Amino acid sequence: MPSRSKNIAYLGIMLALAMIASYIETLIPVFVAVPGVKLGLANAVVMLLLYRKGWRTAVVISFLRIVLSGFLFSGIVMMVYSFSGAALSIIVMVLLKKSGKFSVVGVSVAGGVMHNAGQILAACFFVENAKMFYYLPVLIVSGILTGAIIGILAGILIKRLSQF
Amino acid sequence: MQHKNSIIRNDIFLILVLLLLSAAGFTILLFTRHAGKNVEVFVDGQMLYSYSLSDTVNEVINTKWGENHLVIEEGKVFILEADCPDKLCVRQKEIDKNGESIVCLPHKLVVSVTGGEEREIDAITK
Repeated sequence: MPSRSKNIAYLGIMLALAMIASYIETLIPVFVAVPGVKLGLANAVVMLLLYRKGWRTAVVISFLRIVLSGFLFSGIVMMVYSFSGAALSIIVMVLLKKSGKFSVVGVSVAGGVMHNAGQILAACFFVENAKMFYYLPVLIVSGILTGAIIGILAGILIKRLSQF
Repeated sequence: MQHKNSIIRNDIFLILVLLLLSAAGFTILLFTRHAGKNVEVFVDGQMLYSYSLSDTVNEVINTKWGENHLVIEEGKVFILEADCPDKLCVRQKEIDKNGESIVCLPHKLVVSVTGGEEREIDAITK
């Protein structure tokens, strides 16, 4: 069945793209010195998959992206935070998308904020210090901003890559 | 399929709710913050060191995961150097208020300022 191999190739490319996005992100200097503030470029790929291939594919690629880029760039400790953030973010994005009440940008904004909230939860748990919530207001604002940017980007990707 | 305008309205509503949450958080932080007294260093949830904010400290803290060079001078706390990959702890601004903390996630290190006088508002109302 050619469509099966086509699908595998497509997902391979998407995984590679998500990893490149993770790598590019390590090169971008962070402007706010708060742990967890970043653009979340890889989420544009995850959103593209969510809208084009369904949530299962999005979850699998997101999981693989975190494992691989964790070993390659960010380190194993940071991987735990990424997992926690990505899990919460994907759950909320899937639900909001299913509700049909929000645009790509809205879904992405919620995802961005939830990603940060998930990371704080993980940090509270692993660093065992509830003071991490001190960062939450800043991280909500940064989540809205980066979520909106990524949402616009993902919207373009979803439209342009519709033939694949 | 919902009407496009209602989707945009929902998006804006979502963003406003989030902004409101964040504003509430900022307000709470603003009203509960005051000059701190002690500096506590936690690694992996255990308090390892405790200093007074008025001390002058220049020490390298070894954790299982790496080193962070802690400095306390003139009532302010910051991390001078660290061998963590992201260096966010070094780039966080110096802290001196109760409840503020510097966090190095890769090293599971938290430096936080605690104690200190009451909030100004309480002092005034008394």
